[in-house]
Amino acid sequence: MNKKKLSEGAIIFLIAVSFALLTNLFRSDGLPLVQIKPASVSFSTKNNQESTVSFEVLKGKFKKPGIILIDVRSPQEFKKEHIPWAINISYHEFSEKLPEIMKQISFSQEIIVYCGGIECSDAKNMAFLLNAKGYKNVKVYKGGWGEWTQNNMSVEK
Amino acid sequence: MDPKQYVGGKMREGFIKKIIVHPYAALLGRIVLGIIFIYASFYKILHPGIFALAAMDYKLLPLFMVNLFALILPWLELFSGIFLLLGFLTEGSILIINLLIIMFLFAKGSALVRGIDINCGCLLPWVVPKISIRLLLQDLVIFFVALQVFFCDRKVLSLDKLIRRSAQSSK
Repeated sequence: MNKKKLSEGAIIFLIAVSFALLTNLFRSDGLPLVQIKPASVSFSTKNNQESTVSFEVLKGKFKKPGIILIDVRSPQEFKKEHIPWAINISYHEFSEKLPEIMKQISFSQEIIVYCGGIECSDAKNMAFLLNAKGYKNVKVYKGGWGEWTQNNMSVEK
Repeated sequence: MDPKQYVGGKMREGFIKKIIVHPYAALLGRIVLGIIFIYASFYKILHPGIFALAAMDYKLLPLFMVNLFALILPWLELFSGIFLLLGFLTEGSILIINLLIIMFLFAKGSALVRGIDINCGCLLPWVVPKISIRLLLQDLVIFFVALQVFFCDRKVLSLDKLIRRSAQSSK
């Protein structure tokens, strides 16, 4: 391989790295450069606005037909206890389960996702992914599992 | 062997070789690869988080490198694609594109061998194909095009050529 190819390649690499780091620095949804734990891969929803539902709203919508409730916690946590009627699609299984989701859930259906509680970002990330795939009616139940059980609501095992 | 058949075969071989090494074939290859790489980079640049997740699924990179990889790779794809289309820093662009394709082939091949059932994450979010032999073959075809450009590009309609000419004429 000649020197020219290598030096040109190095120039392009440097340009790409500079752009990547600079744009990430100025983005509101920039990624941390070094990731320590899987959950820290995060990004904001479209236009940095997330569509959320409160506990009261979820309670009102509870068990209504046509609403899909997705629990994005791990299968182990889900098996232990979960909100009745919820289905489990853990965040890290998303790409694996996507074809199945797309077959069974229509794009117009209302979807509510939740995870452990306010401090977890998996539900928000899952909502973003679903949104990116074409599901336009996705909402996040921010309070999540924590708030649901604090309010002594019924659970399913 | 029938001498006529032998001559015919040799002629066909020569014809195919002529087409493969033809400068316009390399130009076509440059355009096709440029478009593919620019297109592939867009969504990854807009949503590096989603791409980071897709990259993580391959379980090839240590966790601390995933975000850096997800941030840099799309820009590398974009600049290599643009430069290849324009014929600017062509040799470096095609070198990077070849290296990227080898990396993609390795990642997808190893996912297949390890039996990891994941989406490729290559053309997010419109195309989410599962990693399969077919996808690997598609990449191989792209790799052959990239190799053809790597070895046979004569910089037809390229900025590199234009810059060199103007530099020579100014001397």
